[in-house]
Amino acid sequence: MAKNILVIEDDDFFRELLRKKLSLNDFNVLEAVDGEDGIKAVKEKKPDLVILDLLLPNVDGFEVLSQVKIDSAVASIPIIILSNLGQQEDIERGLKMGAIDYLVKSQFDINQVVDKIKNVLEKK
Amino acid sequence: MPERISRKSKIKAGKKTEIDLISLAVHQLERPLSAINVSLKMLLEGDFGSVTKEQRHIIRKILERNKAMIFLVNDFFNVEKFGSKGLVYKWTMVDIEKLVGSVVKLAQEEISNKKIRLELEKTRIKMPKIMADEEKIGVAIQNLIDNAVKYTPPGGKIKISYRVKGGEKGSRVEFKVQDYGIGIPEDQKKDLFTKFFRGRNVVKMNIVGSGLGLCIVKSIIEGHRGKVWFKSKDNQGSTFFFTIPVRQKD
Repeated sequence: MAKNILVIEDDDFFRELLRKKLSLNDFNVLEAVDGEDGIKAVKEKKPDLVILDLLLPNVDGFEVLSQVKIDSAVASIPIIILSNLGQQEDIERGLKMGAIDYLVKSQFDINQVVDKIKNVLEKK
Repeated sequence: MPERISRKSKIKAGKKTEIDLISLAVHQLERPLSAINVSLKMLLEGDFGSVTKEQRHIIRKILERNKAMIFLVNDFFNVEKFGSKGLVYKWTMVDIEKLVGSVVKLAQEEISNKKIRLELEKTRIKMPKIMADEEKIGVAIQNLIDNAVKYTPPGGKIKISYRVKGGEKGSRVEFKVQDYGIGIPEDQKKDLFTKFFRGRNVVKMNIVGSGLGLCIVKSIIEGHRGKVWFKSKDNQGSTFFFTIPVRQKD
C-alpha cells in the first residue's frame, strides 16, 4: 500500500514539483498550503511522513512543528524540514524541536528527499 | 500574494519576529531560484519526459546561471550579517574579454526585444588576464549592463568598453557602460549606491527593480580593491565606470 506523505508548502510550484517527484516514487501525496491547514492535516490524516516548509502564511513551520510534537496522537510522525532558511541557528532549532532532518532548498537535491523518506519509512 | 503582504504588514507594524526584514527579503529572492533549480534538475533527469541533447545543453546553462544567482543572494545575505568580511572570494585568473562577451550574450534577448543598438568597443591591445573572482565580477558587469538596458527606452543605444590603464600605482582594467536613457536626477545621485535605493523617476515609470544592484556592484568592486563611479544627466543618460587592479598571480 502506498505511503502517505503530507507536503506543507505554500509555494504552489514547489508543491507541484514535490508532488511529481514523490508520485513517480509511488508515494501518495497530501498537500497543505499554510501552517494552519498543515496542523489540521497532520491531525486528521495522520500521514506516514511530513515535508514541512518553515516560511508559511498564518502559522509558520516552527509553530506547526511545535503543535505536532505536543500532540501525543501525532508526535511520532517523522517530519523533514525543507526550507529556504539556511542559517545554522534555524537548522539547530528545527532539529531540536524534533524534525528528523533539515534540508535547505537552495542547496538540496530532490532525490535526496526521496532517499531520506525511503530510509525513514523502512525503519518504521 | 495576500499572505506575503500580511506577513510584511506584521513586520512593518513593529511586531517582534525572529526573522528580520533583510533576511525575509533574501529568502523571498531564494524562493523562485530554489524552485527553478529543482525543476531544471527534474527536467534533466527526464521526470517530465525525455529531452533532446540541445535542450539538455540549454538547461545546464540555465542551471549554471541560476546557481550563480543563488550564490549571489547568499553572498548578499552574508554581507548583511557579517559586513564586507562576509563575502568569500574565489581568486582565479580571469579573461575579462571573454567574461564581458558572455555577459553581453545573456542580455542579448532583452536588447533585441527593445531594439537597442549595442556598441561594444574592444581594445586593440590584448587584455591581460586579471586576478579576480570571476563569478562576482560577472555579476557586477551584468548588473551594470542590465541597468543600462532597463533604463534605455526602446530603440536607444548603449556603449560598452573596456581597456587597460597604466599608472603609478600599477595597471588597472577600466570597464565602462554608457546609456542614453533616463539618467539620474541631480538630487538623487548621492544615494545611488545605497541599498534598496530606487530613483524617483524609475519608480514613477514602474520599472521593476530591487534597488540592490548598484550596492552589490560597489561591494564587489571594492572587494577587488577597485573603484566604481558614474556620470549622469537627468533624461540624457548615464555612464558607469569601474576599475580594478591588474594583479598577476602571486
